Amino acid sequence: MFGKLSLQAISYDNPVVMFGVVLMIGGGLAMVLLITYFRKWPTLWNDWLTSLDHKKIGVMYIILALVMLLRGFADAIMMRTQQVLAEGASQGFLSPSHYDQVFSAHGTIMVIFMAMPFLTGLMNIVVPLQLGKRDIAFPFMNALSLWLTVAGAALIMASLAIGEFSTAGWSGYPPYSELQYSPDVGVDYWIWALMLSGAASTMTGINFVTTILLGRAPGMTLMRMPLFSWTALCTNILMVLAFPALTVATGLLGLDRYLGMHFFTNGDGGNMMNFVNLFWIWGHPEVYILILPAFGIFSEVISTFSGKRLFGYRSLVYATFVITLLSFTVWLHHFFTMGASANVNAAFGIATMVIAVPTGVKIFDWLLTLYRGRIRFDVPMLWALAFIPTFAIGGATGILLAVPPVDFMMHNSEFLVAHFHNMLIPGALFGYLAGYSYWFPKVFGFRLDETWGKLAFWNWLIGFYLAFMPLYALGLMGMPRRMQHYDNPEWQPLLVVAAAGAVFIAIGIGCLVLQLLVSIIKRDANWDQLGDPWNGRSLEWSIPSPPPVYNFAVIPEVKDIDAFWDMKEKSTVDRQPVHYEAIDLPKNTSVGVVFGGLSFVFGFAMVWHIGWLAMAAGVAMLATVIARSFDDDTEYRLTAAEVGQLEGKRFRQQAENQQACAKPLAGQE
Amino acid sequence: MIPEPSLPFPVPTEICSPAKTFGFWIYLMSDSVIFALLFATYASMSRNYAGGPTGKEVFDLSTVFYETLVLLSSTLTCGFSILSLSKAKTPRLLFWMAITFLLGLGFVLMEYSEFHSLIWQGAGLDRSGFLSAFFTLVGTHGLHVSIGLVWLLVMMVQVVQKGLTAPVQSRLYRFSLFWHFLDLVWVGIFSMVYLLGVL
Amino acid sequence: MKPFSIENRPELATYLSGFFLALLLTLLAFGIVCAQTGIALQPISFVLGRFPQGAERLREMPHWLVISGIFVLAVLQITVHLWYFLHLDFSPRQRMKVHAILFSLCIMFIIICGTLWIMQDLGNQMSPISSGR
Repeated sequence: MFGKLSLQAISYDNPVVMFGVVLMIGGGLAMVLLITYFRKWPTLWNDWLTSLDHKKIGVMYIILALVMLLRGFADAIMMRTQQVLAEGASQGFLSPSHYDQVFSAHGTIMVIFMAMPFLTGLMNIVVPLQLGKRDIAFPFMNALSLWLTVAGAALIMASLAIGEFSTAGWSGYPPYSELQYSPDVGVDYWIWALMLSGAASTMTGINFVTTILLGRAPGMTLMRMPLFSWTALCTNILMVLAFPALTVATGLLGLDRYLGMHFFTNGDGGNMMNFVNLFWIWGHPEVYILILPAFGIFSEVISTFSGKRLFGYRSLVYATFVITLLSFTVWLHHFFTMGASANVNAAFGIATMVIAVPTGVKIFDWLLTLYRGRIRFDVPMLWALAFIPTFAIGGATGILLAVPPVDFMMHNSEFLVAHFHNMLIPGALFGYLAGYSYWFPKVFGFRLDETWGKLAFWNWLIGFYLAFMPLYALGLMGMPRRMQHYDNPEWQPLLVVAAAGAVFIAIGIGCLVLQLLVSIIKRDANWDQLGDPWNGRSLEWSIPSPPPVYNFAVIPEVKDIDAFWDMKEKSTVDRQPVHYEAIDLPKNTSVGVVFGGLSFVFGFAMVWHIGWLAMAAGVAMLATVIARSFDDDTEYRLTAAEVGQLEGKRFRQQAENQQACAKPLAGQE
Repeated sequence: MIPEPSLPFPVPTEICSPAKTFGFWIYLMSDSVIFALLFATYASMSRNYAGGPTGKEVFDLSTVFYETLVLLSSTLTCGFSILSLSKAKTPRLLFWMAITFLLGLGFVLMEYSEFHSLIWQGAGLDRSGFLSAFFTLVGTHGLHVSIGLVWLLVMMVQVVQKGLTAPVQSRLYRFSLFWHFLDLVWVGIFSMVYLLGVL
Repeated sequence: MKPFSIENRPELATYLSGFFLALLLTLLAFGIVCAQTGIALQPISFVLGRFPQGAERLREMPHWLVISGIFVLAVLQITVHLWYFLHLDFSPRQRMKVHAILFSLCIMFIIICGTLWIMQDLGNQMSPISSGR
């Protein structure tokens, strides 16, 4: 009746797990109580969960990312603590199997359920605004993507309480992840979480490639698109073409586990190295999926806070596109040690070094944008400035690892762990956090608190260096990654330093939470009244904060790369137009949430081999989509008069604000 | 959202909604990466018999030949349905859709009986790496055709219920893209899997 | 993309010529294999029987030529499908779509060839006993 599921699946005897479960359920209950107390259920349902507004969907993505950041970081600090404790006679506080689950969950969550939702959220909010669009191409499919991602994340959270998570690492290599060696449901949780979110990311890719390539504002040619939109385009191209490889890799592993096939088994004609091959055909482009949007954010931030046009716009665009293509030519460098011949390793090693060239071009473009700029050290700019040197260190160690003989020494060591954290924390996360503070006022209409933002930044930066520089040394000292316990006392001091770094990062995360709370409480002091808090250059700053539901009452005409800067220089901003037009917008629908819920049930039933439930949920998912296709009444219309009324109100408001602001602004000059 | 132009007859092929057609092409590219990797996996495992039967021993070329003819004919009748659509002839459209459906159903049933007899002969999907790769590649295509059949059925209901509205036309056009695409994948399968397999 | 215009309307002739070209290429591919292996497929065997000389020539084709022949026929037929059924061409109206498809094909080429190369090379590096049968 319930497949493999029984009450024994809940590990009451493990205090660490139970603490996590209590924390999770307690947090959930507290949210439910708060929402009930403030009677916000209708608001939540009508304005958020069922909304097809790309800005709101973006915000929900980022909320998911921040929640999962907390979960993933909790895993990280457990690993650091364990490695401080578990030397020699001590076994630390985590059993080997539990420690393995922790590092597997940490990797999966940080890549798939923290970084991906964060960048997808930022793209959702910003791309249509930068391109002068009123909506994205397929708003309903966007909701499906969001709720599938949420369902995947929910599966991982469920694995904490019911059953266990994979112990096979975030990359789940067979034959260890095959049924023979991992008979429990951990790997199945991992497979279905990746399947659901992989499908979501593919749909996001299709959605945004279409959004960006079709129907931009007049005059917004490809070579006038802001750089964030360019990197978003390339990231989405990668999502469309790379995520199928993840689907194939995890799908074939699932067929091995569920139907007894022999893709990656030891015997019977299986070949485990093909999994590694397929996984990294996705895995390497995935690195660029994460990093390219951050490059875009840094480009926007550096140009805005230097008060200059981006240096070498064309070279940045070409470099981005070259990286997009080259990212598909280097995947073997993740498994140089599998035993390929020297020719294969040399070819992929050289391709890996080649990819450093366009990245280097970008670094120089950013430096030259800073050169003789009027630099303002606001929080987004701090993240960007810290990124450049830190990322260069990570890039340099990457070039070391690209040399196959060196890789044979470093593979599977803490050096590798240090390298990829050194790419992804400054290269991706710092970018997202810069984007978070940069575009926050656009979305909510008030700025984030500067003091707490700066505290968060400095703690993160110091914490990062303390946590990961020792790992380079540990790798050179021969420490392998993923060790639950070790016997070499020489490693311990450096691991203590790394743990201290994790504490700094914890403080940094605490500051981010406080920053959000303080900013909400003190929002009256940080109101963004004119919609352009940073003296911005691209179109998203030309509309009010928060933007109206239709974004642009009148679609702007673009005449320059820095479209809004150009308008400001020619003083064509803020002239109230005479004519408005009717605007069609997508209606809210609950189908997205329902579909996400059903897909969670489906995934859960598959994990636990509950056949009837999986079948029922699958049929229900299909029925939901078919039912939706019968509904042709999916849009509502704002008439020209209604738009005019809303805009008139806004212009009156803005005129008042401008008068109120006039004096302090003059004082600053 | 990109505005959809209101459509006078004669009806469009692809321009019912440029964004949706373009997006669907992007989806097809994504899907073809799945097939590309399944083909590559099959090719790299095509000699991993593990002591089990080889392709030469179990493939029945005549079934494959008739499957190919059936699917190719269904692609033609699918084209005829788009021709009827462009002339706004609803009964004829429904007729060709029904024929396409029957041919597609015939293909799926033939494939089902082929799989059934393979498993019966002891050449099941868990026998060897080669057979796992074979069943997965061909089965994924069959699954796509089955989904296409469900889609076709839904579209027939919509044509009857809603008439040839702009969204219905646009969906029919995208269905035809999907169906032609599946036949294109089948060309790869019969050439690379079966024909090379029996040599 | 401009709105639909009359000259892009699907034509009966397009579909029919596509169908017959595809049919011809399919029959050719099956015919080569039938002649090579001696498998009897009704309509094809009949034609081969009527032209014993041609059948003889097909039977004597070297193995590499047969394999590359089937490959070339498949690529040709896929092109026929794209052109006649999926209505792809190089008109400016379709430019972005064609670019997207060419880029995807390029990526697919890289990952298919890469996978085959990597797995082939790995097989060569392994001891012969693990290479299957």
